[in-house]
Amino acid sequence: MIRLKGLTKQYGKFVAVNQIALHVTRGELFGFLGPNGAGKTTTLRMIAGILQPTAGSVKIGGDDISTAPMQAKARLGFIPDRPFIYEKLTGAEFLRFVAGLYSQDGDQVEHRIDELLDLFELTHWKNELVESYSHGMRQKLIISGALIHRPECIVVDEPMVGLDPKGARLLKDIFRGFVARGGTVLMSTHTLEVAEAMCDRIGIIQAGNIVACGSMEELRQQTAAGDVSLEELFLRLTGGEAVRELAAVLES
Amino acid sequence: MIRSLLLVVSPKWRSAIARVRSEGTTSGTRTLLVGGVGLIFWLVVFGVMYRVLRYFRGVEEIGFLLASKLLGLVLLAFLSILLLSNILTALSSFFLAKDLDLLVSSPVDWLHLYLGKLGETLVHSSWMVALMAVPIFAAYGFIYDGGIFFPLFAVLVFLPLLVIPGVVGSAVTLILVNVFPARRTRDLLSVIAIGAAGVLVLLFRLVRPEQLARPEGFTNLLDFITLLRTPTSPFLPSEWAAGRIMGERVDLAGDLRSIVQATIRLQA
Repeated sequence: MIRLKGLTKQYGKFVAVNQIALHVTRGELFGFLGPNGAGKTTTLRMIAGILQPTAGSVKIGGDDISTAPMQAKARLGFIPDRPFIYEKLTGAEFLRFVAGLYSQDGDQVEHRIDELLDLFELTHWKNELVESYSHGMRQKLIISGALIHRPECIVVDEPMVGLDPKGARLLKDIFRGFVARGGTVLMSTHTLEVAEAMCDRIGIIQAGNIVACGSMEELRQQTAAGDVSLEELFLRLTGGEAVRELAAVLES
Repeated sequence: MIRSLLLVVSPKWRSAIARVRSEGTTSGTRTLLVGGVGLIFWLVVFGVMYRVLRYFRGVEEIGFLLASKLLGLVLLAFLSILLLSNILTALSSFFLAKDLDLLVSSPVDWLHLYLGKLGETLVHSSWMVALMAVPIFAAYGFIYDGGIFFPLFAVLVFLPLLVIPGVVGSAVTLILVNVFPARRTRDLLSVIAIGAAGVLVLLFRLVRPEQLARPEGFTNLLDFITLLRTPTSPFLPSEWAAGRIMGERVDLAGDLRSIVQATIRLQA
């Protein structure tokens, strides 16, 4: 469903993403992990068509984001790490606007808006201006916006930020349900427990390169780590062990 | 295309309506105060322009030319302000706007997105100049008997004067951002400010307003009239607009001919 081939992004001499190759299949929930500045957000923004790759290609459902952007983007729902909502629109107006961007309108959209607002318990706030929404409610509205056009795949950057435990649980259920119905989710997160519990496969990115990729079991085999947690694996692969040793020395 | 374009800009006007509604309900006094101050400002500008133009109308032979030159100067000042304003506003709306991620990641045609952002840039950078122009044009209409259709005619003439610097300004910004990395926006703004100051000085020198204040510096009245008749520059949209408002025909070919002739004379 999402296929990256030799994906590279350079800013001058700095290589933010280096020759990434990845295939996320239909019905898969893929977790994208990495320390700050590893290239996660840059990769996701290239997949969403916001950044143009220096080299390589991104295909969504067979459509290349560079050569057939309209078709590729129509299949995609993107939730950025710092999402934006127009403060002076109501929740319903915002969702209607997003649906319009995907050339959808009419009764079907109205029905879908009611359905999503009901799912996220925002029905009472439907006609209130977004400026009066809490952070969590905004996050729910953004997620509703990404789902309004019934995308085939969702690319999401740090989805759990700002959500209360109930909202986070709801989102997990939504993503699992979406994947069970044949959808694809590519999710970047720093919450390792979430990734371990939810994702079918995990890719760990470090300094623009994917240093490990696979299911939890495959990751353990790749690192010959034995029965360790994802946190342990992550620290081994991203050099976090040195930091931990330093912390231990300082504590002693 | 129109539908898609309207959709792209719809959150902006919806937000503006919501803002006006909330301002109206929460602070009626403030709205009244701002409206009142605006009206007084309009009346003052209209009053000053009316008196100046009435004086010009009373000056035989050169009164009309003085009024034309004054309009040319005013519109040239507007043009400079609009150009600078559009360059800066385009930087915000095309590169720093928070809704870009949402719009660019959606299947929206690039042309519609560009036109939507251009429209946003135009409105944000031009509304103040457009409001300022109303009492000035009104004074010209009253003094020179513009007739019942003058407001419509003035709008039609003034509209291109808003659009041209908008398109040029956003094109300049697009080029500059391609030369400088977007992260160095502050450097870019400095370059724009220095460039704009340079352009302003250049435009001001082109107009040579000090000559108008010293008619005694001319060897005879004919020289002075010739200067008043000469367009500041035939390529400035402000000259085209001033010419139209004052009922002159825009004769680009004639202007080009006179420039070539003047150049030949100078070389000789």
